[in-house]
Amino acid sequence: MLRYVIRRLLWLIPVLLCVSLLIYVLMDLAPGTVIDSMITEQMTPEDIEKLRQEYDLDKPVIYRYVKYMWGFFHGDLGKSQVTGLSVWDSFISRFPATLKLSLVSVVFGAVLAIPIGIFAAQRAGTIWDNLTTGFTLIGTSMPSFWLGLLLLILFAYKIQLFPAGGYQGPSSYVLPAITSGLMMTAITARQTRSSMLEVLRADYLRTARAKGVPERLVIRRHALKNAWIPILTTIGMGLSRFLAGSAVIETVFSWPGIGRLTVEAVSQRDVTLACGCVIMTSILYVIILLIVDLLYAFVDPRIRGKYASGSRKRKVTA
Amino acid sequence: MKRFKLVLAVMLCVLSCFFFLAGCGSDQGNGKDSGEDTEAGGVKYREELDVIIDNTKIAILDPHSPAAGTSSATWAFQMIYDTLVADLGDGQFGPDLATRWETEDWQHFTFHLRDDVYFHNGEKLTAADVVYTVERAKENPGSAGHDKLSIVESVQAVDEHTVEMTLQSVNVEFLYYISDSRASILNQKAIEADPEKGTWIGTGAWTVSDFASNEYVVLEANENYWGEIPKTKKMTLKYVAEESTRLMQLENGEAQVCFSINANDYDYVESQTDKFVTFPFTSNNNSYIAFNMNDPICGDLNFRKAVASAIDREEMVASAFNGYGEVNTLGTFWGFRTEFKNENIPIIPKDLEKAKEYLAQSNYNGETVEIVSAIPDLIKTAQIVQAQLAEIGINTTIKETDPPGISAYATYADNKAQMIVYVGGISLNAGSTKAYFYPYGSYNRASYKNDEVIALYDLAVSQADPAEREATYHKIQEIVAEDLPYINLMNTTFLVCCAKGVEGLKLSNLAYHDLTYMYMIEE
Amino acid sequence: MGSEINDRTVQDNKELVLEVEDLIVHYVLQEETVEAVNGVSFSLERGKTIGLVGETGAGKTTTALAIMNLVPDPPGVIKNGTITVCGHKMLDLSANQLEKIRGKDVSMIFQDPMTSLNPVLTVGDQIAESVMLHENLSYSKAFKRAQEMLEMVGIPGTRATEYPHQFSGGMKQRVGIAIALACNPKLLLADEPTTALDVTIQAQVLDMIDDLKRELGTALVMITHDLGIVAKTCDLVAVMYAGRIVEYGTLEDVFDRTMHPYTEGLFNSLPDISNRKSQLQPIPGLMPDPTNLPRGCAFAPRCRYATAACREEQPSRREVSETHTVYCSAYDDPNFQIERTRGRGGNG
Repeated sequence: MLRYVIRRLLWLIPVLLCVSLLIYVLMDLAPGTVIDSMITEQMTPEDIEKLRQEYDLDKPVIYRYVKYMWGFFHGDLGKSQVTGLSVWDSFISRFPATLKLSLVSVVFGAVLAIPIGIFAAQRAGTIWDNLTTGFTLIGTSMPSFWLGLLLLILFAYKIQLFPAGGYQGPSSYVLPAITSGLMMTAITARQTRSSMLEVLRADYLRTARAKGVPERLVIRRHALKNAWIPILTTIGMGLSRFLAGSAVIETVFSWPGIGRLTVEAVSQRDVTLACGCVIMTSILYVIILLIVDLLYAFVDPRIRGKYASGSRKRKVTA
Repeated sequence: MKRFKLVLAVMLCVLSCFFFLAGCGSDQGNGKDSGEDTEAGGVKYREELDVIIDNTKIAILDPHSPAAGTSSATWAFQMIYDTLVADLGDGQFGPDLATRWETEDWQHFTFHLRDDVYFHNGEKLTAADVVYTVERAKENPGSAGHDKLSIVESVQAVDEHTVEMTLQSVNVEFLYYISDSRASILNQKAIEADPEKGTWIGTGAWTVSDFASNEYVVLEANENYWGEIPKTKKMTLKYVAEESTRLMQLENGEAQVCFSINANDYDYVESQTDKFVTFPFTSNNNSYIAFNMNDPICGDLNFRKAVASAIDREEMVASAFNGYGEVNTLGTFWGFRTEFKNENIPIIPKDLEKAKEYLAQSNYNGETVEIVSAIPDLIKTAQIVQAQLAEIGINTTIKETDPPGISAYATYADNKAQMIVYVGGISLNAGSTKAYFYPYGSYNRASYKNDEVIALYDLAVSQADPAEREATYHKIQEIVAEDLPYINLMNTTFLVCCAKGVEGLKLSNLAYHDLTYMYMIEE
Repeated sequence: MGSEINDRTVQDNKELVLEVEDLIVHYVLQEETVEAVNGVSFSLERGKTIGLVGETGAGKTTTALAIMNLVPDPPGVIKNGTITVCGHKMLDLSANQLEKIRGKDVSMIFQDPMTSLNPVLTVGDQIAESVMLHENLSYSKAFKRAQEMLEMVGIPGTRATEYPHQFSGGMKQRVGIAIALACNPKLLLADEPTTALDVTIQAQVLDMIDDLKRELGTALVMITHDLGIVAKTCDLVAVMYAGRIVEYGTLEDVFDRTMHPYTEGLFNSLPDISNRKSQLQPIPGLMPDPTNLPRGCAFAPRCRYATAACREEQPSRREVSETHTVYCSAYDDPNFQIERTRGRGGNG
């Protein structure tokens, strides 16, 4: 198990090298550099040249990249080129906002999605199933900025029930959480439905019913537990995507999180900050998917057995 | 039939979804701020004001950071810090942290500081802080503070409350520089203790209680301020990235002041006089067409004159700016309210016949000229320019980019553009126009160079007599008008949209607005 | 509610544990209807074993599921019939009442042990679950009982904490049996309990079922297509074809005094060990399409004795003796005999 975790974490290294190189090259290809947004009317050419040298802009992009990654592998995410503040501090100061919204969205999404998915699966082929399928179809295909704006117009403008943006108080979570959660609800509900449908046909549910297990326990204890893995995967993917900070949702709702930080960094050509954000979110992404993988073992003893077999041979009796 | 069922299902879903949302919403609290009011002499002032800033954002609370050049950052700086002298407008300066100052030759200055000023951390303001501030600014090239203070050759504290400064050369605009909020006085002890947050400490009327880069800054009134204490107790300057929600926030009371309402909504806001009050200001910045003087086509004066005779500025203001803008009426390229503007240079009038004549005499032979532009309103303007030039037979294409893209595209030394339609910053002091006309000037997108102009600029900064200075700057404008590297189009008018009752806002043509004493009377 | 009356009925009928009357089950699909069971009746006394014999698709499993009232719905529809298990009319009970009977009065062993155990629960939990449900025991007591049950089917009780994937096929089936017997049911339905197992294991499992049945006094419905198993375990035999019982009687009746041509066909398709040179005689043709059963006798198209009348009309019921019933119109001709009987001397 431990070896598995370490192997997965080692995979982070090439992943990080790739995403950071990608960021560096893409931002280098974009017109303009970080100092272009700093130039003021009173600057002399010498000032500008000094700035260029300070940011190594007179050297090739690969030099800056290697320099940055050298620092990174020595535990230094660097300093924002625009503000001069530590990238790590900037990231950490913004992370709580994104984390809180992500958790609320995931909980909202999952709490709604799993019952909906089970409901639809149990009534497969009926009008109820069609309704939920319709709902998931809308949920997955609706662009989130559009849904966000619709909700804003309805609940912040017409009814004035929730704030139109910002990050204070529980009420400010409602609209962004619904907007991001709904997409996740739709995807998770669909996954739950198909995964439950598969399980509902399984022989062991017939065994359970033949034992006289009440229907709700058949679903909860016997079916859901077997359907968990794909559902968990969807939820985990959703969470890691939220944690990377949804630029769209954070922009629509003025949410001061990682998504906004990254967008601003890119628009100001702040390569170190953008790269730091992307590296951190990649790390989070990989770690969350790893946790989900480890949760598989928790949910499914067969997988647990597979992890264990590496260290200890199980007796299999014929 | 099957399709009908699907449609029905979809509709029911949407409905149930909204009912669900409405239902789940009702038990949550109301989103509005419930700022309490302060009562004084029968007038109630709102305690908390939420201000939606403009698109420039506040990246950092440090006047000496390269990222501190934005206009909205100066609003926060003016609230948090004080400067040595105050700009009273029209070239007049009054006391601020310095009660008085002396200079003989516009090169050696002596400032006498107030004795009753304390920083937000409780430290007393001393001459050492002024020395520290100037030296720190000089060490930070690329910062706005560096811009203002780098001409100081040496600075020393004579005693606790007296500072002497010597400039590198005579500069009659020095007081203008040090009245800028980015030349504000910082606290040495605070910054040395905490390099990142120490710059949040000033002597101003407002203290910083929370800050998120590019998102918001929360300020609280400084009850120990040496000057007048603000009537408002708490002010949040926040950036709202999504344009369409700004009006919503104003409407439902999440913000009382908005500097960045979409121009399409100006008419609506102005019509709602029972809810809103609006304050217009016209930007000192010119929207312009720049010609790359090194380009074979655009470098030809006749071509530039042809363009100047073909364009219709009224149409640009009407359709690209919804009518909110001042059409340029003079032949000079100077800031809208910049000092020493030469009012005697006539504009090149629209005259298509003349334009065609100029074009016939030019090097232009039906080539396609590239126009680079950025920002939606100016891209629209560029499209109008394109249509108007087509009337006299100039073919153009438009290349859209973003602001850093413009900077990268057209620098003095390496100009890849042919024509640029963009907007540029110009300060109120005449010296700031140098950025457009001086070689390597940071906004010299025309790659313009004229030795006579260079000599005149160098002369002007040393002319202590305003009348002499005026003559020099008028001369510069005449020469530039002849050369025509830029065509001045218009100056945008912005509406600051506020909830009814908001007063005390000091607007500036430079967008360096002073929000320090803004308040809102509640009914 | 009617339990008193029902209890009396049980006593009146000499402890009749199971009574199936005129059971009709169809699977109604969008485009067609599968006529799986078409009027099956039989009964079973306490401690006795009946074998339901027939090819795949004869409706044996559906009959068993109907007895539990577990026919998957949709698409399954029980069109007609009454099923009485220990006095309970299974088809009239609410879901709640059914849950109390299933696992307690009647339980079932399923065909495929590989898939019929829940992979994510320990075998101990799966056995204990029904004990907890039906006997109101605490978890720890129920788990202890589960361990005892495991010991009873020959698995060390310590393995109760293991998961199904840690067991071999034969052991899984033993676990299935332990689950079924955990609450001492009066009636056990065994749906091809050994089909998925190796031959050597088959015998072990059958012996075990037999022992347990005797020990606990459980009545057993043994569903199989294997006549050997029937001979080994059953008291009564019902031969099913296309959703109907075609021959019904004691083991001796059906094996020694075979009446129905289909039963004969089944025997003929067995290899004869004593005469190795003899050819296997499989029944020609295939089972009729259950969505489109012929008007007359369903076996007629494959029956070598079939007459025109057989194809037109449903076969008539003929009680050969008190215990032996056959559904075959050929016996309308008093001289008719099938070959198997003829071969044995013809005077039986």
